[in-house]
Amino acid sequence: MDHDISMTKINNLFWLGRYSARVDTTIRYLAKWYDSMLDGKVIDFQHFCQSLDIPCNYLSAYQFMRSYIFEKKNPDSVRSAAEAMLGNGMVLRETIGSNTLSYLQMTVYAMDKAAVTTNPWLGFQKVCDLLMAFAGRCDVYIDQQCIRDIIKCGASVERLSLSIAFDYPEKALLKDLQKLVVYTGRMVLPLPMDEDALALLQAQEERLEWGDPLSVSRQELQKAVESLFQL
Amino acid sequence: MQDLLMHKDQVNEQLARYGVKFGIYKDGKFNERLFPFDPIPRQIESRDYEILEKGLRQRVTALNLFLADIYGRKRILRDGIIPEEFVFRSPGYLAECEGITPPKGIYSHISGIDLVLGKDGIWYVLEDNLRIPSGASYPLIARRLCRNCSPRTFRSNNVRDNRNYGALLKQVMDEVNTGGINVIFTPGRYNAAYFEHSYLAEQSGAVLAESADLFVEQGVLYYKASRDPVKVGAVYRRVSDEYLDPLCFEPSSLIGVPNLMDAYRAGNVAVLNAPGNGVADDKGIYYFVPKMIAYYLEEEPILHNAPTFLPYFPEDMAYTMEHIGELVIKDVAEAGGYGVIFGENLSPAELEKLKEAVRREPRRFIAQTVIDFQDLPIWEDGTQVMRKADLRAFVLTGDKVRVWPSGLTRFSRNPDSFVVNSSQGGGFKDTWIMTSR
Amino acid sequence: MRELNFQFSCQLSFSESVTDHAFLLRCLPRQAREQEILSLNLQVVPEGVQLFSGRDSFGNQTMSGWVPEEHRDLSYQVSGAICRDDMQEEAPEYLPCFAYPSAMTKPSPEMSGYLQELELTGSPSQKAQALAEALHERLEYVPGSTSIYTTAAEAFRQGIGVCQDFAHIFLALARLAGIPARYVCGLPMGEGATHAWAEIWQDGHWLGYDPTRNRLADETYITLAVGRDYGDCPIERGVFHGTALQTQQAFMQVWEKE
Repeated sequence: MDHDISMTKINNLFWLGRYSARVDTTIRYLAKWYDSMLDGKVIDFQHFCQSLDIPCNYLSAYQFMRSYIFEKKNPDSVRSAAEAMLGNGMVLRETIGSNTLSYLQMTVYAMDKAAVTTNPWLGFQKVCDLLMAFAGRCDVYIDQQCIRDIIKCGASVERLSLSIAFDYPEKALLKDLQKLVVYTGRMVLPLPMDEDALALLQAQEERLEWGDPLSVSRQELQKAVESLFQL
Repeated sequence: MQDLLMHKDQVNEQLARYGVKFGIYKDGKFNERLFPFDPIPRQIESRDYEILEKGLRQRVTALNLFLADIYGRKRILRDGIIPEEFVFRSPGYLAECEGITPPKGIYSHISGIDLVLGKDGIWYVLEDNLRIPSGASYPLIARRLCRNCSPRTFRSNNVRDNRNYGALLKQVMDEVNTGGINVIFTPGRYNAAYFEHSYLAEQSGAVLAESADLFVEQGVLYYKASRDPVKVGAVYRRVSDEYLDPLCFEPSSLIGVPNLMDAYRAGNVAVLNAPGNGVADDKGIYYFVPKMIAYYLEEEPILHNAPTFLPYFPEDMAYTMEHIGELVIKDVAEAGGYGVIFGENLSPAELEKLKEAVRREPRRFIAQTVIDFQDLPIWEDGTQVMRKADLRAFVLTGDKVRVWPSGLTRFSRNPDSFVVNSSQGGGFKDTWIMTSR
Repeated sequence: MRELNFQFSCQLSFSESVTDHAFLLRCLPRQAREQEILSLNLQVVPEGVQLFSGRDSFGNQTMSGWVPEEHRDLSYQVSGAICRDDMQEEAPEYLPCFAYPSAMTKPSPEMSGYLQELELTGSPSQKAQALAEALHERLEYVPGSTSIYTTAAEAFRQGIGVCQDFAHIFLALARLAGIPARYVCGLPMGEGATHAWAEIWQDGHWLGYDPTRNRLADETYITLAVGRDYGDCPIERGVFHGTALQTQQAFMQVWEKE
């Protein structure tokens, strides 16, 4: 199918990318915390919530881990992000294909399964494996490059946004900045983009590539990442 | 077969993996449920199927002629075969469709004919569904998954392949297409049959679109692609008539496409199925289908109706009043298994109330003999139990009338219930048409 | 035979910008032998809106349009000259559905009772005449007392309404009395607002009655559109994106040609 797609679908593809990256990245991040809690380490979930700018109504680290990861009713939870990911995927069945879509469905099942086990770490691994397989299927089985690229734009935006929020070192941002520059450069569909944000990200990508530090604050960078696509 | 039963769990796991669900509204909330699948297929022998196929083609051909006649010259009314008030008082009759000739004169492109097999070995048609019959996607995907889970079963049985439904659907859309792409138009993600809409779009290579993705300009329907609008030549709409076009039907509809009827009327787009088909699958009109076959085709009906009485006619009213305790009374305005009352389940006081209702509005009801239909085996907790089941056969009409060699077999999970609708908790089976060898 | 000049204009204003505005107009005089169009001019603003002309199932001329861009007004103006001559009526369009209740003209038990009390006798036209007179007596014309969605049964219960309601009640009762009838909206002689009346079917002809004014809808009436009830033939119907409130100003004028 090589005809053009609607704005609705572009929107769904972008958010499919964002939500899948959100599930993947936060699960990986929290899996490490989960491990360190075994040694009695204190995790600073208040700071975590603050960084992501979400309400922090959790009473304990334990309750945070349960609710933030698994609770369907918690709109900030990873489980809710997984649901939103699947929701965006479901309306794209004929665009991405039933087989690719099935990995999203399996990811949601895997999360629900992990929620009721005593060793959720294994469940986290399964979730991340499935999301990797999803990404791989997108790469191999979605024929149109621009469709793949919209999903990837969403994923890169989300990863950058989280990396900045989690205060990752600058060099960790480079890869996704590079990707965004490439995808936006070759995009043939009229994605609504903020030109100023794009210029800022291009300039910062170049700096990091040459080993220079960012010339804007992290907040400014975050703002540009979030406003790059008007979707 | 035993092999397939042994793999029941794997099949169900696969169905879950592919999100084979239907939506259901309960207490105002939308929920999605897996559609329970039973691995024991309904098998139809090739010689039985031949009769069924001929009968279905005959029936759908007559129904299409009837629709063309009603929205055109109305010969069957003038000739007194059907009292005209059955047509013009039917909620399915849409005056807004008068005089419209759809591309190639086809009204019901995708027909779902509900049948049951009586203990006497005869197939009875229970209902014609000519508006937006759903359900083909379920046996379609189930077959694929069953083959994967239990290849041995399919190696040793001569089952006709049913995986061509997407291709058949595409063919019908292509044959009526007026120039442009094929679109499947869905009310949206929160529709009970959304899985089906999206799966059929994938299988037929059509574009799945919602209201916001479509618009009409200068009498042409367009798909709002991100660069330039793309002309739509055929729209398989899964939005019901009343919501299809807010400028023609229900003005408050948010899921329709304004002026779609204008484009359709101008002959610039094929609408599958045609608006206004409800007049032919009305429970009151059902009674007259055998007469239509005789009238339009001058043939004997091959398939039987369930014995039906129209209280509208005095002698049928008398019979209905006398035998109401043994009959099933159907409200012609209701669908989906609602408005179906079994006389035998009612107390004397309730029976009196029902009689009163029938006497007050005779045209609103039909009465049918309860058919003693063959139960089908269901695999439940490791044993076989017998349950009521029906068959929805799918007939696709383009340049030719084609019967899909399969169908949706629905069964009631409740041993006491005759109602098999998915919205009332039923499950489904694959339907195998056997080859002659 | 009469030659009539007419002019009709309507302006829709939105409290804020709207987009994706689709509309369907039935603002042109209906083409028929008894209503020959001598001259016709239609103007629509925003200028440049492409209109698509068609004919609906009741034989009405339709004009559909699509304005995707932001706008706050939509107006149309139609003017021209008509030759009205009821002697010329030939093979008028008829649909059997005109004999049956429609969505807005389902009679209530109260209305059935009223019809029985009237004890109408004679030919369909005699019955219609008596019915129009009786309704004119029984109902009170009160502008703004009902909406475009008010059904015949609702208007009958409250006993007040506007021309649309008078026509709906007339239709409901005429059909109940076994007389096929249809709704007409159009322009009567004079000036002011558009009007609605009804026609009954007798011996292969349509005969017009105006129950609001208790008179025949004769050759001084110009028909724009007909249908089973108002819902089939509004002069303008539209949908748009936006939360704007819509207000409408309309004016019409019909005068005899010198």
